[in-house]
Order: sequence, then structure tokens, then C-alpha cells
Amino acid sequence: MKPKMQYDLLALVKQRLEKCEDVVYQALRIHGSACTMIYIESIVDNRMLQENIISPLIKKSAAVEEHFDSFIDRLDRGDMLSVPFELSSSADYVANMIVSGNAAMIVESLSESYLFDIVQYQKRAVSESQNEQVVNGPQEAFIEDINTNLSLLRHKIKHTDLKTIRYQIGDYSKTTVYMVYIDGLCKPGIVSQLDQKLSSISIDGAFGVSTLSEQMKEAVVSPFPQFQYTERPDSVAASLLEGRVGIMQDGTPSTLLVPVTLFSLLQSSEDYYHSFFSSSWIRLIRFLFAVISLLLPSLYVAITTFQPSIIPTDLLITITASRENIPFTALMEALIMELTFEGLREAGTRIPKPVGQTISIIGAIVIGQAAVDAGIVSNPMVIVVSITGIASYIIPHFELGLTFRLLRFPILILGGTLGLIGVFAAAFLVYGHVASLKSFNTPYLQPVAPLVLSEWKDTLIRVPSMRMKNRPKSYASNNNIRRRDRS
Amino acid sequence: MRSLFICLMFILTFSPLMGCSQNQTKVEINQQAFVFALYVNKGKQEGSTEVTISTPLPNRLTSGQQAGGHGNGAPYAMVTREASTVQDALKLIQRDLTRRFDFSHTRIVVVGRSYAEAGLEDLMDWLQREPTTNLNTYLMVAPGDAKKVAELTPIYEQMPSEVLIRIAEQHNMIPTNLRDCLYAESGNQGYALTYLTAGLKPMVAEQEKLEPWTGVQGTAFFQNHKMRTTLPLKESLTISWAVNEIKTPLYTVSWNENGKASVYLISTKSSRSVRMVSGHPVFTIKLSGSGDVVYKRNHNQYDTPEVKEIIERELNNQVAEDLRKALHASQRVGADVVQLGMLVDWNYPDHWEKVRANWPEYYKNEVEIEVVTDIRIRNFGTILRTKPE
Repeated sequence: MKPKMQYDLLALVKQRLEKCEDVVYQALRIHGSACTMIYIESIVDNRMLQENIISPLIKKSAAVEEHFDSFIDRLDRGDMLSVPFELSSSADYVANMIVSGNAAMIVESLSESYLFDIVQYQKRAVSESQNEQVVNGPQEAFIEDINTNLSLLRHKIKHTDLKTIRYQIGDYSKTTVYMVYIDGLCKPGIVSQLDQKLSSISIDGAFGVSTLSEQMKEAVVSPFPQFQYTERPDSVAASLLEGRVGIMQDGTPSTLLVPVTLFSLLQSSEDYYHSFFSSSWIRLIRFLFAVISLLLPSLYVAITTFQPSIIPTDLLITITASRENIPFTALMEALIMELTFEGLREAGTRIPKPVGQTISIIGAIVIGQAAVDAGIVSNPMVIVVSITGIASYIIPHFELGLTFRLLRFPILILGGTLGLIGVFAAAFLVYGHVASLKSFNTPYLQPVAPLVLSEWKDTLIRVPSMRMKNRPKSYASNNNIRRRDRS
Repeated sequence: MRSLFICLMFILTFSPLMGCSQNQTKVEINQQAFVFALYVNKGKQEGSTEVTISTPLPNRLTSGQQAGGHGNGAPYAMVTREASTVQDALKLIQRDLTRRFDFSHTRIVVVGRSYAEAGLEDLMDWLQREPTTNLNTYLMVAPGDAKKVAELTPIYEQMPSEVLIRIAEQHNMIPTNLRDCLYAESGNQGYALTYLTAGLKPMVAEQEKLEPWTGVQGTAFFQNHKMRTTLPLKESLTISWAVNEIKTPLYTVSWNENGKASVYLISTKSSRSVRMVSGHPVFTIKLSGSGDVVYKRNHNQYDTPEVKEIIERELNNQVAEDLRKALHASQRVGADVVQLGMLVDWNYPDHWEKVRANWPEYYKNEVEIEVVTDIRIRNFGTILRTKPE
């Protein structure tokens, strides 16, 4: 027999939900006893509430001739409703559960409230990946709903070793975050390290996954991304199988992957969906353009102003002829063009769609022929800037592309003031920095520095998967045989 | 902050390397005058040198529709000054010029005949010491005034200097560059430079007007940087062949009264060797090659193997004869232009030590050279008929 007459629970909950006018208080009568169903209509599954909770309760209470107490006992045992529920007598807890999508049923004569988890947020359908498109291979992408995302991931990996550890982050947002990994494949150290970091995060709210990554970032101040973002379930699944750890957050399609290396950021999931010849070739092209996007403008400026002797004579004539009558120095010219390009790029992403076309037309005129015709910039510079601009988009991970674009400017200034030596000094500085970086104890340049030759099969090129018998050691584990020969 | 400081220190470490040596200082590309060719003559005053530089005028070169003036004049400028040395003359030119010289693209130096005869030491010294000049700059000799060569009408190219560079690059005649000259000189041996010709020719492309034209007429032999003699075209070809610097020459041979055929040599090779016979070096120069018959006067003779043999024999004889004449000329003036001295140096270093000091004299009097040829006809250009009908 439960203690009766704690009716002030309803009052206390009401007090906490004061001025929340989207809360519904639905009065019911069960077995002669007054009760109130409290929920927020917009975030609960209304059909479920009506069909699976309210109507069975009413029907059963009308049909049954048993005593009220045994009725409640049956309810508590779970004999009566198919919807799982929990009980709580804390007004704070009940109010919090209501705003996170539960329906609370407070029976007049009972001290505990029934909480039914029937949350249903608005969400969009699973759609194609917008930012990481592939030609072959799976097209679906994560959406904002964490349960859908977990479903997409579980669809790819059906194994009991796929572990999903749940956290709640944000004092106000109470965002659900999952750490996903495959037990036995990833370094155990990473899991405990991440666990510690995720548990200790204390912020008001987390909306983009980058908030998390900044909270977890290791001490180094670096322009290079130390997390990989992806919205592709197949990328996450493949990374988990390599022994990496994923962090999925409710409310964003981006998933974090750690640890990262520079080379993992230069790989696209499409590499694995094409034949190894073409994907190896595409990878090499990608590396070439990554270097171009970092160094081309500074090399051009340094060579034309300091070392014209290394330009082939015929090319020299062409460049000189187009530089003739240009009022700026090559360095200024390059800076103007690069800044214009960056401005156009930023405008292009922020601009409302209906006016987008206008800007792209104006931009093309500014950065292109008009500037040349006006004698402000030279033709070769336009070509250099355009190639560099395109090159920075060839990098499959947007964050790394941003890094390269940012680093281009200091290198350009060094190249324009100190010549080729400045460019090389800058390149060495960048190299030294990258070599010293570590992402969760994995060296950033692995497998190049430190040298792990066995992993070169999947670094600059990709050998057929038949030949990749071992899992990469970068994210090492003891269990590193990937493929066993079956004879 | 500390890492910023380390970055700064790292970059400053390089500052001594940036320095202010000529090729490191920052000069915008459109504030430089790239000297493409140098023409050096003997000055009008005794002991003076006349230097002419040829630079392109980028604003007159056609490259897209750049803003700015489009002159109709020649796309290159030539400036001439006279002074006691090459350096002084260049200094005088620089003083009047709005743009700074850059010799890193100087690919051709033409010297006038009288200057060449007086000796190139002055020029060679400057070319060696000036840090921006290239070792693969071609050197050539002009008959008379070197500037006259530059007056040629560049029909196909934009600038006369380009024409001269192409002449060297096509390996029609020995393309001697600065490195070759310095090698030869360091071994007390001679070298051969292309000897140009300058004259007037009617041009179809220029409405049949008489226009200055430049071509190759042979080689000039140098010893100790002084020009000793010149050699006509045919003999010069074999010298170029002997130093492996010729590509696809064409020979026409004749036999009997009206037998005549032209052979286009696809591959040419030479090998030089030395052996000691009774204390003196005896050299063997072997010219080998293979070619196609591209023309045969088709009167009475059919294309039989016998005819092929005749052509081969005549060809071998002619080449051997040319080479003998050329070597004879070089021995006469003591200019070891095929650098046979090097062979002695490599094979008999002790002997070389003895003869090195007066190698020109030794080459002139004591050296015996054998000429061997092995030229074959690969294709006859038509079907060989073993049995004439």
C-alpha cells in the first residue's frame, strides 16, 4: 500500500513549469481517482500518447471491478501498458523530464508520478550527403537526430563489440552525446581519455560538434584540425573498423573522429569505392594540389621577384610582357587577388540563394578579365590565384582546406619579402609544427614521420584491399589482422 | 608568445643568406632588362672594346591584350657603348638605362672577327666572374662587325637572339658553349666556334625586299682564346661530328659521270682513342653513322646492292677526306679543337704532364691522327632489285 495524499507534487511541478504555456495539463479520471497528464504537445508522440497510454487506461479502469490498489499494482508491474515508464516523486526531475519530451501522469492519491518516454522531435528525412559527395558508394548522410544516426551506424556494423557510451552535455541544452567505438580494435587509452574529457565538460549548451572538439582539444595552439568531421555513416563505420573513436552528438549531422593524421584528412571515402588504380592516381593529384594550394602564390612571387633566372626564357618573356605596366609589386598584386578571392568565397557561402548568381557574376568580372584589362593585375597572377583557389577545394576535408588557405598568407608575405629562402623557411616551420603535433597520442604525420612503411599501402596510394591484411598501426590495437586467408 | 619568438629567430637565421648579392636582391620582374644576347666588337680606338646588349621590350611583345602601349617597332632594343673593357662598357650602358641588367637569360654571345683575332681573354674573364651568367651560353663568331649579325630579319622568331639560339640548338653546326671553351682552355687545348655569315637576301615574307640575313658558313678555330683560322662548311661538319655535336647531316656524293645520290644520316656517332707508338701519341678518330638514301639520280643504274655499296664507299671517302682536311687545318694552326689532349691526359697522364705546357706546338708537329669511318646505308628508300630486268 502506497502512502497517499501527496497531492502537492502536481502543484510543485506546475510551479516549476510556470509561464511555459505550451505545456498541456490533461485531466483524467482513472478508477475514480483524479489524475493529470502533463506533456508538451510539440515534442511528444501524440498518437502514442492517445492510443497506447490514455485510451487503454480509461478502458481498463472502466471495465475492471477490482480494487484501486490492485489496479495500480498491475500498472506498476507493467501488465497494463505497452509503453515503458519510470516513477519519480521529485518535482524537479519530473519537470525536467517533461521539457525533454516525457509525458508525466500524476495520480491524485499517489506520491510518485509516472513518466512515459514518448519523445518525438521534428526531424528531416535522411538525405544525400551535401558536403562529402561521392559518385560511387553509399549516398546517405547523417541528420540532426541522434537516434536516426545511430540506426544508420548500426546498419553498417552489426557486432556486439560496437560500444555506444552515452553522455549528457550542456547545463541548459542537455544534449545527448555518444562515444562510439569498437571494443578490442581501438587503443584502450583513447577511450578512457575521451571518457574523462567528455565527463568533465561543463558548458551551457553544445550545438555544433565543434564546441565539443574545442573543449577537448589538446593544449597545442595549432591551425591544423585535430579532429575529423564527417557526415557520412560509411566514413564513421570505416574509421571505427580502423580503431578510431567516433563522437556523435544529437542535433548535428557532423560526427567527430579521433585520432586524426594529416593523411587521413587527405583521404576521401570515395577512394575505397573506385578501383585502386584510379583512386591512387586521384590521391596523388590531391597531394599535389594540397602542396599547390599552400605554396603556389608564394613561389610565383618569390621566383618572379628574386629568382627570374630559373624561369625558362620563353615563359619569362610572357610573364614580363604581362607584368609590364602593372602598378603594383608582385607581392601586392598577389595579396590583392588572394584577399579578393577569399572575400568572394566567404560571400558565396553566406549569400542568400536568390542573389547568389549576381555575386558570382560580379566576382568573376572582378577577379578575372576586367582586372586584367584595367591593368591592375597581370594575367599569370589571375591564373595562379585561380589554380590556388581550386586547389584548396580539392582537399576533401574542409577544415584542412581552411588551414591551408590561412597559412598561405604568411607564406606569401615571407616569399614576397625574403624570396625563395623565405618560402622554404616557412615551409620548414609548417613542417616542424605538423611533425610535433599529436592527436590523442597519434603523431600527426604518421606513417611518414615516424616512418611506418607497412602503412604506406594506404597513404599516398591505395593498394587493392586484398593486400591490406593488417589494420593500420596508427590507431593501434593488439588485434591487427584485418584479413585472414581462407584456404 | 614563445613560439612566435622561436619562429622569428628561425627566419632570422636565414638573413645572412638573403644578403644583397646581385641575384638575391628584390627587383620586380618589370623593372629588369633581361639581356638575351651580347655582341662584342673591337672598338674604334686602339685597345677599346665595343659592347652591344640586346634586350626584349616586353611592352612590344605580343602577349595577350595587356593594357598599355603597343608599339609597332621592333620588340627588342640594342644599346652599344665603347670602353676599355667589357665591364666598363656595360657600366656605361647601365648608367643610361632605366632598368637593371640581368644576365641570367643571356644565351648567346657573338664576337666580331677582329675582336676574336685579338683574343677573347677579356670577355671570357668577365663571363666567368659575373655571377649571373650561365655556363651554357653559346658563343659564335661573326665575320666583321658582330652587330651586323643582329640586324638579321627574324622571320620566324621575334628577336634576332632567338634565331641565333635556335641555330645553336638545332645542332646543325658545333654548338660550343662557355663551359666547353673553359674546359678546353684549362687543358691548353683549342675549341671551335660557329662562324656566322651576314649578308642581304630577298625575302618573300617581306615583299621581296632585300633584308639582312644570317646563316652559318663554317667554324672558327681558337687556341688560347685567339682565333687562328676559319674552316668552310663541309669540313666544319666533320669537326662537329667528331665531337658528337651534330644531328642529321645530309651528304650528297657523286660517282662516275652522272651517278649522284643524297644520304640523310639518321644517327651519327664518333669515338676517339689514343695509343702510344714509339713515345708519341697516335690518335684514331672514328666516325660512324647510318642513314637513308633520300635521292638518287635515276639514269642508268638500278637500285642494286652494288649501287648501295658504291654510295657507301663514296660517302665514307668523302667524310674521311673532309675530316682529314679539317684536322690538317687544325694541326697547321696548332688548335686542338677536338680536344685530343684530354685523351692523353686520361690515358697517359705522365706523358701529358710532359707535353701539356707546349701542347699546341706538340699537336702541330708530333701528333699523328688516323681517320676511320664506318657509315652505312640503312634504307634505300625503295625496293632493292638484285636482278635488274
